[in-house]
Amino acid sequence: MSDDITYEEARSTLGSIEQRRRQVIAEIDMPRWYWWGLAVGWIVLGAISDIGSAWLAAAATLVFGAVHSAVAQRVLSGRHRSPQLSIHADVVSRHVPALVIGFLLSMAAATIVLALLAEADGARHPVTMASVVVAVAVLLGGPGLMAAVRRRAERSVPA
Amino acid sequence: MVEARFDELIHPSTRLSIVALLASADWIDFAFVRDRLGLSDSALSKQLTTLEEAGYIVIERPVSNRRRRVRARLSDTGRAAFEGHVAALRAVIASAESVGASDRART
Repeated sequence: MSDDITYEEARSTLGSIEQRRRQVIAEIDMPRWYWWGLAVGWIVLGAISDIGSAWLAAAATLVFGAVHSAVAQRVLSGRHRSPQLSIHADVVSRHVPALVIGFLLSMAAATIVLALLAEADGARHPVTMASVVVAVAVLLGGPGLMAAVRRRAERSVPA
Repeated sequence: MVEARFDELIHPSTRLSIVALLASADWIDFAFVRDRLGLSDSALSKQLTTLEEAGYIVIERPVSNRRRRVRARLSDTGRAAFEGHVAALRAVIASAESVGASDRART
């Protein structure tokens, strides 16, 4: 039967298969609530650091970390944004969790640097100010990072 | 190494589109496949039944938020058939291109 298939038909069929793969790749992402939750948590942590005691800030950081690790186990892979499908592991780079964690660590470092700068400038609530700036960066940068992951997955589809 | 094997059951475009979607996923909800392929419920059900009867896909009906959902996943047999079919299509292209290249070399 494959002898009956012309070159053009084979190319067109493969093109259609690749289009279907791209439709699944378009679903690689993390839920929007993850980034919003992270941003809100970041600001709350910053406010607690400015207003509360050091013990309260440490306890809040531990709770934030515990909640994040519980949630992240499911969403960090980028394979479960939609409840309508679970993307095959081969389609998504296995480095996505490391990329996201690296991004969050860089945001934590940025928060410290910005808070120190704000404090040196005499700001009354330096950590809160820094947290708000970083929360915005998380809201913009997180989805941007996942868009880059999708573009990379697209490039892996044979042309 | 995947053995190139043309599969007549999945070659028709609708079935191949369904299998191609499922090949990139662990499982996919019925509604997702229906919407992406622009099929009616009955048309998709018919194709899924054919694929299920051939042992190429598994239909699951989990309960989520008190609603019964229908989702499909590719079986190992279905995945092997799909990969063999893709390899067969690539072989057709490779063969045509090598003939074309040797023709050009002769002229």
